[in-house]
Formats: sequence, C-alpha cells, structure tokens
Amino acid sequence: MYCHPQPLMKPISSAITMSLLCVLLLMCNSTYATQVIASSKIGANIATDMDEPCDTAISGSQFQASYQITTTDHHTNTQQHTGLILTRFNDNILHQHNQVSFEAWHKNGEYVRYFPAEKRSISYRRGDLLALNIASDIDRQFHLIAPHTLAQLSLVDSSQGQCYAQQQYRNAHNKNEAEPLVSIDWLPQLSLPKSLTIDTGDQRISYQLTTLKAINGDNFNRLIADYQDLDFADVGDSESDPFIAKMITQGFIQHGSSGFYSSDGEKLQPTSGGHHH
Amino acid sequence: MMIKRVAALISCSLVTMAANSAMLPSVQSNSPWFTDSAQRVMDKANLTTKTQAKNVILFVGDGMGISTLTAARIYQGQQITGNQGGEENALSFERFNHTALVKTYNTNQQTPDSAGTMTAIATGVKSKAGVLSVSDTSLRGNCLSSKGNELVTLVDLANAKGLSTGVVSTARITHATPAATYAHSPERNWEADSNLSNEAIANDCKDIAYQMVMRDKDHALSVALGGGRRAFIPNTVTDGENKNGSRKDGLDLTQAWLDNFDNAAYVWNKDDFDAIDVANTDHLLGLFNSSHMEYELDRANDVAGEPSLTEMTTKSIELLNKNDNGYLLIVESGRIDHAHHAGNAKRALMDAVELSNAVQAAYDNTNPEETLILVTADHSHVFTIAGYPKRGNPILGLVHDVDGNLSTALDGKPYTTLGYTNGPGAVIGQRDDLTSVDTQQNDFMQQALIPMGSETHAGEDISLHATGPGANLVKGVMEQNVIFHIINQAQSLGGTKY
Repeated sequence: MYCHPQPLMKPISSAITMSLLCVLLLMCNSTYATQVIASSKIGANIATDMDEPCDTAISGSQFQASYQITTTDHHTNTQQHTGLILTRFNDNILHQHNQVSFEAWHKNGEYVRYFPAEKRSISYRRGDLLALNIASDIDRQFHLIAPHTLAQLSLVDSSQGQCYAQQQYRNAHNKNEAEPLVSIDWLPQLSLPKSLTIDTGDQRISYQLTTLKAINGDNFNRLIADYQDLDFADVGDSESDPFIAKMITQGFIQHGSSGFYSSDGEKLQPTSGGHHH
Repeated sequence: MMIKRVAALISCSLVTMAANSAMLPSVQSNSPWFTDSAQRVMDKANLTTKTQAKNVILFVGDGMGISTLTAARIYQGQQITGNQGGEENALSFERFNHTALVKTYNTNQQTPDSAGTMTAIATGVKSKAGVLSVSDTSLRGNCLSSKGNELVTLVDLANAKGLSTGVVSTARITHATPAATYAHSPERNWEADSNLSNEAIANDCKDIAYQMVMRDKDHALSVALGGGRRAFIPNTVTDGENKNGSRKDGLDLTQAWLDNFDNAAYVWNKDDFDAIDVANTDHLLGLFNSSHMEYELDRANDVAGEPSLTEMTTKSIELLNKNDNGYLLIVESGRIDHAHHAGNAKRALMDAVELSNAVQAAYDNTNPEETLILVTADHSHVFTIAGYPKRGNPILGLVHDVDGNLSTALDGKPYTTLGYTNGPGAVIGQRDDLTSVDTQQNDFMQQALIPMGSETHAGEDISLHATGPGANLVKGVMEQNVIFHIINQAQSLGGTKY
C-alpha cells in the first residue's frame, strides 16, 4: 500500500505539490503493468477507444479507464512504460497495476488487496487503516487527482472533444523553486485526467488515458468474485498460513511507517501503491 | 493456665507492634504510602471468601499482557482530573484481592495463539495452536482427526446444570476466543461453511457459526453478542450495513436463532440493541458488524452504531440474571490484540480501559457474595514500557527524564515510552526522528525493533484477577487450564469430583 518514501523526503514547497507528488507515487506500483481486464475479456464488445464513437454507457461512476504511464529520466534520457487500469462501479474502484496484485477502494474508506494467482485477498477496514497510521485520500483513489487538489491549479483552457469536454490545468510554476511542473488535461464529466504530466526536473512522469470502456455490475463483480478474503486484523493470527507468510515476506502486507514524517515532524500522506520497506 | 498463655501472647504481640512502631520515624509511618498500604494489608488479613458461586463472569482481554495493564492504567489515570501522574491509578479489576500469574504456552507452541489458550481456559486441557476445544491429538485443519477428541467446555457443563450461558466479544463471535467456549473444531478459521475444506465437508465437520446457533434447546446460549454477522447469513444476502454474507449453504442462521429458541431476538445495530425488552427475551443474538466490531476509539463512526463492551456486558447480566439457578457469562475484549498486531498502542489501551469499565459495570450489577468475577488474558504481546520517563510523563509520549529533558538514544533521536519488539513499526534502515511528531495522536504507530508485517504475541505469563466466591483459588503461578478448574469448582459444574 505504501510507495517508497524517498521522493517525499525532498523539501516540500507547497501543499499542492505534495498532493500531486502522491499521484506521482502511484508509479511505484506499476512495475509489472499488464492489461488485466483486457485479458479477462470483460467488456470486449463494449470497448470505446478514444477515437471511436462515444459510448453513452460510460459515466463518471461506471467506467474502465486504462492509462499508459511513461517515466522519463532526464539524466539518462531513458523511458519506462507501464500501465494502470482503473475500474469503477459506483462506490467501488479497482486499481490494477500488475499481475501480482490489484487494489480496491470503497467510498467508505475500506481497502482490499487482491492476489489473483492465489485467489486470496486482504481487507483493510477503516479502523485497520487508521491503526496502521494510513490516512488515504479517497477522492484521489477515485479520480487520480482529488478535486480539492485540482481546484488549487489554474484553469488555462477549455475545449470540447469528440465525446467529452476537456479542461487544461497548470500549476503556478516558479523556475526558481524546486517545484515540479504540472500539466493536466481534465475530463470534467468523468472527473478523470485525460493526461497528466509531472516534471520534477530530474524526471517526468506522464499518464495518458488510452482506453475508456463501459462497465456494469456483473462485469465488476466478476473481477473480485471467489477470492478467499482475510481481514487484516486477522493477519496477526494467521502467520502460519503459507500465503500470509509469503506475502509478508515479500512486503505486500505492509510494515513500517518510516519516512512518512517530514523533517519538521509533519505526517506525510502515504499513497495507494507499492509495498514499502 | 490457658488464659495466661493467651494473655501473654497478646501482650507480646502488642509489645512487638509497639516496638516496630517505635523503630519507624514519623516521616515513614505517617507517609500516605505507608498508611494506605498498611490499611490494605489489614483489609486482606480480615478477608473472608465464600467458596461457592452462583454466577461466574469470566473476562478475557485478548492479548492483554501485563505491560498492557500497566500502560492502560497509566493512560486511564492520566485522563483523571487531579491525577498524580497516572501511575497511582488502578484498573477496576486490579483492585480485586486475588491475583495469580498464568502460563500460556500451547502444547505445540512456546508462544501461543488464542485458539489453544482459550481451549485451555474453557476445557481444562491444553491443546495446540489453531484448534478449538479439541484435544491436541487432533491435527489442525483435519476434521476426521478431531472426531472423538472433542472436549467438553464450561459452557457445555453450565448448560447441562441448568444455568444460563452467554458469550460476548468485540471480535467476531466466531473468532477463536469466543468460539472455543461453545464450538469444537480442529481449525479456528472454519467460521462459516464457506471456510470448510473439502475434507471437513466430507467428514461432516460443521462450521463455527452453525455450531453456535444449532445447539439444542437445552444447551443453547442465552446471550451471544459481538461481530461476525457475515458467517451467519447467505452470500446472496446484503446486510443492513451493505455487506455481503459469507455462507454458501444458503442458511440464514439469524433466522434459525429466532426459529429454534423461545423468546428469541436478533439485533444488528445499537438502536435495536437498546430497545431490547429483557423481560420478554430469553435468547438474544446481536451481531453488530460484518466482521469484528470497531475499536472503542472508532466506535462512534460505525455505520449503524454499536454498543460498547460495557453496554453489552450490562445487558447480558440483566438477561442472564433471570435464571434463578445462576449463569456463566464469558466476555472478551477482542481487539486489544488487533491493535497490538497493528503496532498501534493507543487503540489497544483504549480497548483495555473499556474492558476495565465493563468489569466495573459487572461488579456494580452483581452481588459480590454470589458472583465470581475473573479477569484474565489469553496471551501477551511484545509490548514494552521503556526508558526512564519522569513520573506523569504522558504514557503515549516521548520519554522525558526527571528533569524534563527529552531523552535521546545513541542515534541522537528521541524515543517513546511504549514500543514493540517487532511489528509494522520497525523499519529496515534508519528509524524516524520523532522530535516533532505527536506520538499521542490516535493513529501513531509505535516504533519497533524487528520488522514484521504484524506484531506478534509474546510468551511471558499473563495475570488472572478475581473477586467473589471461589476467588481464593486464584493464587500463585498456574497453568492456564487451571482457570477451568477454578470455575468448575466454584460453580460446582460437575466436570470433576471436587
């Protein structure tokens, strides 16, 4: 659930940048990105490519959005491509980053981590997350960029695309400060970014929406059906379970709060994302 | 001659007392420390304890080791206006006159789990980790091996004697500790039928929820309150808090409870719980959460509302008290353990304090001449109270020495009084600098030494506290299964030839 804390250890110059960097940290979960949903064949006949005719079944609360994530290292001039699939059905959203696991958030703050190969899952209720000192921004899980964060950026342009209106946002970038340059193309009807670029000077991370599909309840439920679930609260009594032992060893059941305090003692907000050591 | 001898003895003892008093300076003998403790000893010297209990209430703080008791008493004490630092405080049951230390190991583990430890308490026989009230000749997770190895529990005996019985927990009511009191299973995780293995199904082992509800009328629980609703309803049903059931067999055990027992009631939220008419209810099932109930700290945020452990205890006593023959009530504070596993001391301490409140409520609502109250834990945790903090230093805070200076370790960083030997609060690499961190906030995770996904149980002894008839049996260092025998004897349950 945690991302690696190193990017957060840099001096933080503003709250906006802090929130956006949390988006950037989604990256650390994307190492093994695979189009899990595409391979599961759900919605194959309802696919709506961005260049295809508009699918009216897609709404802000029911969609499957695929992103390509590109990381460019300015020092080595190398690029890394990964993927992220967001599947939302009403109050639930799935984040699929890799083949090993994917994550689900519910609007009530509950979080589930699924392990497809083992058909096992770990559920974290709100109290579990609080006890682990994890305060997640649910809005960010559902929209990649929380509306309150977006509201702190400057709207520089609006236009009408083939299917959706688009809004272009920028941050008030000051070249004299160590603050990333942020650029977002926003789809207000879906409350999702069409594209998102964060350039820290050392590296640039870009999210590009590549595919948008409709989703229904049956399709969504099929993605999370037949998993043997365990409450995180019960992990402590389940370390003799080979699956639990393996996942703890591999760091998928999180430990460690180190790095989540800034130099002035402020608790930094962990993000949904990769495991943490 | 005899009178002279007695007179001589009395005069000698008076001389001794006078001589001892004379040897003590007034700064000593007039000290409140001295006078208060002298009075306590006098009280103990005059203490008489009945041997037969009509009622027994057994409280179990899951994971409530002695360091948890100490920290919880200080935490509670520091909330009291006019406290002298908090250390002088006592949890309700720490004022009980009878105390013992309890050895917790399982037959196969030096550091135990809750299933094995509660089996020892409930049956008088130690068993292995992971199994519920079956002997250790059973193989964990193997149904067939458990057949014929079922152990009779305190609840079974109490019901057979015509007593009313109740089980209360803030964990799932099918979780290991409460389950060991009424179910027999070689696998603690068989909470619903969907958890059963193929082998278990083939050999007709029943899941724990099923066993709880399907007890015959003469051995039915009168009260079952806790979490764990999902194991009682079909997976096709969504409950009142928008959670799915987990049963595959289609059984609605909440309905079965209503069908099977006379004057039965089922509630799942606090409003319905509060509205229960005890006078007209003989079998009360309350399932307040799909899984575990909320931590006490988070209880107010529950979707449909949950009663506190104190409220559940009080209501249970009110209902059980209708049986003139008496009752056996087992109450677990199940989430002290979970908060420790998460490395979050504040939630563990708040749940321990709430257990103390529940014990006080039980004491206040029972006759001490006829009710034996026991308070214990199933096992400890690797939870420590460290450093040399000054008197009254916030128990959740950073260590400040007697001069009020922030204490630092060899790495130059401060540290908290409370910590864990292992768990999620440990890091690989350098630990956090907590200088400017509010370590008393609700969600602070204490630092730990060894990184583990979940903090672990500990193997040292835990305590047993008692008051009421039969409490005199609580003394010394004992095996955990002795607790069964104390209850068995005090309440004459007939489990042995006392």
